[in-house]
Amino acid sequence: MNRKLKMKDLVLIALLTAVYMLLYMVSMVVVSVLGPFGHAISPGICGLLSGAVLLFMNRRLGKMWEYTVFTLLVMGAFALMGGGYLPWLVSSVAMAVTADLLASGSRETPVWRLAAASGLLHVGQAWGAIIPSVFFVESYRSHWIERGVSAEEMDGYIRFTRGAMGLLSTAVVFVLAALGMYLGYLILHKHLEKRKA
Amino acid sequence: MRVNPLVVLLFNLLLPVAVMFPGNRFQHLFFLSFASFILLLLRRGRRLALFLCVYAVFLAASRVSLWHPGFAGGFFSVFFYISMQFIPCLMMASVLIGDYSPGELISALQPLHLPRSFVVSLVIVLRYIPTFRREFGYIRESMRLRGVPYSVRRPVQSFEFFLVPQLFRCALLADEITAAGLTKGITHPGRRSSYYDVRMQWSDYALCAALFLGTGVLILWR
Repeated sequence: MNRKLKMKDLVLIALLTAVYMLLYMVSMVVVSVLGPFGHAISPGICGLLSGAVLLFMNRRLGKMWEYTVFTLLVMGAFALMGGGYLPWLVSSVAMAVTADLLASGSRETPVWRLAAASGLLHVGQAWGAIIPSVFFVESYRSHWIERGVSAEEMDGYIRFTRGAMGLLSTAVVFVLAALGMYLGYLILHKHLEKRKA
Repeated sequence: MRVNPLVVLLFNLLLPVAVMFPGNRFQHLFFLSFASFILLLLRRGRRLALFLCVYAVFLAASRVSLWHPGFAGGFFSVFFYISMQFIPCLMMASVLIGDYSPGELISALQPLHLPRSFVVSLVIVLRYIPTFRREFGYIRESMRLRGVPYSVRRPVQSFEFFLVPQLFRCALLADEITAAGLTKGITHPGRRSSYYDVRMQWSDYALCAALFLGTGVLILWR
């Protein structure tokens, strides 16, 4: 069986990316009410909702680089819509490559490996916000303090992406995304088995 | 008048970079004015008015949040303010999605020398986001009509009814789109010709120059 991605595979990945982006937007609305910690773990919420999409992609394609292409398309679409951001692209693509190496070898990849791959994929997205905060946080902090937000409040937001809280956010994102894959398996496995039969 | 999609792309790539260097209060006004100018050039006055209304609501919400000191007030103020920063991007994205056909976009992105399969896939993503959003609405409506509305008591089942049809529809749609694309020679390795004139005009170069100049000055002048 040819394991290279063909045009038809790329089109399917593109369509699933469109579904994923809608789920991403829904998760952004959900996290907006959860405050700064919600914002830090928003990729995890997205992973929780979109596990079925990633599982479906693997069961239909199961080809190497499917998650990397998917991530590049997500980043490309965000860039066209003004959400492009270089550190986000770098961390997301690096983790997508790792996810592909872990789970994209076949259509029969065990769910635990897909769960780990989804966790890595979404941790890559979360790191896009967490890693730059180390470099740009001071300019943001002074900007917002100038605009009237108190120093204590500003430090309250920042702490969710730095140090131990940054690690906690990463862990929460990974767990939520992995759970999302099991949720996806729960809702999809009977449909996929029916089709296979 | 037409604006080349590459100008829109350049704008949406430059704005997030500029946002990383806050400190100049005119920076945001510059991007908002630029995006408004583009919509006016394209005679999209009604869309511009809609975006400006949303902007005004966010601005008001950001100010009102600051009246309530404390963590929540401060958070929502920052949240609304940051959302406002990206409204110019959404204005430009609306141009990309609403005012150009997929064929025009593919032709316009050709000079970037990106792999064609990637460009085609990207255009499919942009084209189908609004379509799927509409279709999710239809699914929700048909669920309601069949007496299986959303229920927080059965969240997994509700989610399943909502998502699974769309996933299988993607698989069918992929076959149809690929067949249509192959018929139109999408895999042909040669240079793609275009019915549309997507060359950069002098006005596009002028807009790009203004954008680069404005962004550079506002990043350095802090």
